[in-house]
Amino acid sequence: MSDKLLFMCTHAGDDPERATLPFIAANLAAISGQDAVVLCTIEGVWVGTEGGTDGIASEGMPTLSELYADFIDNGGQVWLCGACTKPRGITEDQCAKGAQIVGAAMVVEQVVEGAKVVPFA
Amino acid sequence: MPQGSETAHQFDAAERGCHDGIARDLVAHLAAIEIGDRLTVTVRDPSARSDLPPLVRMLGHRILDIDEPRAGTLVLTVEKGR
Repeated sequence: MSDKLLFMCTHAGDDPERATLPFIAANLAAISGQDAVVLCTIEGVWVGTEGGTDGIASEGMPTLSELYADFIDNGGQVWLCGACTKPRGITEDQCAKGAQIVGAAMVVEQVVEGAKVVPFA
Repeated sequence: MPQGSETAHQFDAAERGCHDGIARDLVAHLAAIEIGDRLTVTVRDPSARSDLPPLVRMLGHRILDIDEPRAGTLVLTVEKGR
């Protein structure tokens, strides 16, 4: 049985608003005691790298660096899609605090066991 | 060390990741052995290291042992369950 909430993040510096919004929702989930994960795919994988949130800010929202740090401090996890990190040359030693490279089966098993997926554009 | 006298087989996935056909090949390796036989799977890619245990579980087989003989390498001993 999985109680995880998987928040999808597909953008980084290429679209600050789309990069930031999943972390706002995921951080709220973590603060409220939920088992929250931000699943980063495509360009979103950069967010989970050291320095990957630097300079990413969308008007009216906290900076992504602040949100990311809060999220991890509140017990959140960041999963980076392995199929997306590999062609971008991202390796494990580049992962930021709280981030790890995962494969599809890990995500699928969580969903099969009941995890809920929260998609963002 | 896992117990049992069933035949042991090997699958070294090397540096292949979750999107490099590991799931397909794991299924093929398991299909080629008998129920109760053991398959030792070695992976080095980080996405494959996270994927192997859930993949084995979802396929209905048993993980007998998980070992990390050196940094970045995961060795799973799987018993074919069905």
